[in-house]
Amino acid sequence: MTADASAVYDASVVGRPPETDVVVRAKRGDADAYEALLRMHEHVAFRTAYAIVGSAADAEEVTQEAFVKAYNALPRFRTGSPFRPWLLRIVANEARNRRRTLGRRAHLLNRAADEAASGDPARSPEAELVDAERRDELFAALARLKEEERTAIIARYFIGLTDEETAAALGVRRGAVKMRVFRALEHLRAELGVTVDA
Amino acid sequence: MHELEARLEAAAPYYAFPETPDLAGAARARLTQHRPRSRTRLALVFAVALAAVAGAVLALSPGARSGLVDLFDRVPGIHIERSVSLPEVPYGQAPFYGIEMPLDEAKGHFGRPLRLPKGVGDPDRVYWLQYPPGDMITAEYGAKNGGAKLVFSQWKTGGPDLFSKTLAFNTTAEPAVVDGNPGLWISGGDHAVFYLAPEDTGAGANHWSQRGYLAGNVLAWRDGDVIYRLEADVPKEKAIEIAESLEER
Repeated sequence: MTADASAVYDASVVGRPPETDVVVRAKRGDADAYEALLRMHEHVAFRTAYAIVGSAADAEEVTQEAFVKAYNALPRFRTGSPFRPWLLRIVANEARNRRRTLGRRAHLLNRAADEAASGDPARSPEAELVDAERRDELFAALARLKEEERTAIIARYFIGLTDEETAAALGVRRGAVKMRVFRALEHLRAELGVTVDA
Repeated sequence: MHELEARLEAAAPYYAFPETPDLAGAARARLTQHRPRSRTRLALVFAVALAAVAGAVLALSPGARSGLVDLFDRVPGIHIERSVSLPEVPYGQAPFYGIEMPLDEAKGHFGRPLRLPKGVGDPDRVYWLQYPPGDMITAEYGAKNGGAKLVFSQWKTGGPDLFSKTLAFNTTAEPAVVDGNPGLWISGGDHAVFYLAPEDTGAGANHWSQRGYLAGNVLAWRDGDVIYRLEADVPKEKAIEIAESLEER
């Protein structure tokens, strides 16, 4: 982003303008505005792509390609509508196409980030160990879910997408998202021996 | 929150997502210098279908079809044909009328005074569509939740057909006269509207696949070198009354 663009769009300088304003500028061909728009959503977009293609390198390529396509498709975006679901739909479409091309299944989730925060420092090493084991157990159960259920759980709980955004990312209706999440939770409960009312 | 959901949320920070690279910057570097809209390369692409065709749709007789063709030639710039079925279009976003802007700015783009309905207040939103030749201005009234009570468009003729309507059997079209000018009144639930858009639509598609216009009836007419299109869920007489109330703004 250029220095001028930063002065206009960087929240730390003048306060972030409403997203709609940035969208309008981007639709008029303002590349700085479009870049600013992407900055707001690149993290979620990348993670969504990663959840589908299962490879960081592919997710990076897919997301970048989708961002370029979204720029060309901006005239069709209705100003005032939420931008993120629209963008995620394009990213997810691109990711699904890539996955089909590569014949690659979604990645498994049974890894924990070594560099992740260790949590409450006041907790005992024993408590941390128990938590880590429970997480591993959860990730392993998640990995055994059907792909569509696993992706729905990742989108909702790990990426933090709304129902609408999850629907856009999965290419299904909101009702289908709710059903997939419901079934996934049922399967996880069965795997983990967790009761509904617990 | 149930235990399992709480466990999932607690586990979220530990899920091994890769670090997000600089995607915005990389994408920016790949953007070409041209604007996302192209005025030079146009393709006819479909945009909307108001509703899915329910049940069987009957074809018209050759005689009836011939009569309709004569009728549909009444308004230059609008081409209408009968179809036994409509394209299946997923519902999603409202149609793209163009770039939203203040009314005064839209006037500047149109290059002449705009004519808008009287007695319905100011439009909630005004859009400018720069392609095809004969810029189109659309005003939305009563806009709410992605819909509107009245959508009024005007564009200059002389360019290629802007709209091409495909009517299913259960849609009717009949002549209408607005201030002595020829027009069409199209009513009924099922019709698709095709319109011009940049060829390079991106997103892997060569057509628009957006939700249709309002679930309303359409009055289209020509006055001089301008075509007007009014859509609202009102009867024909009311639509003509609104159409004949136009005043320069």
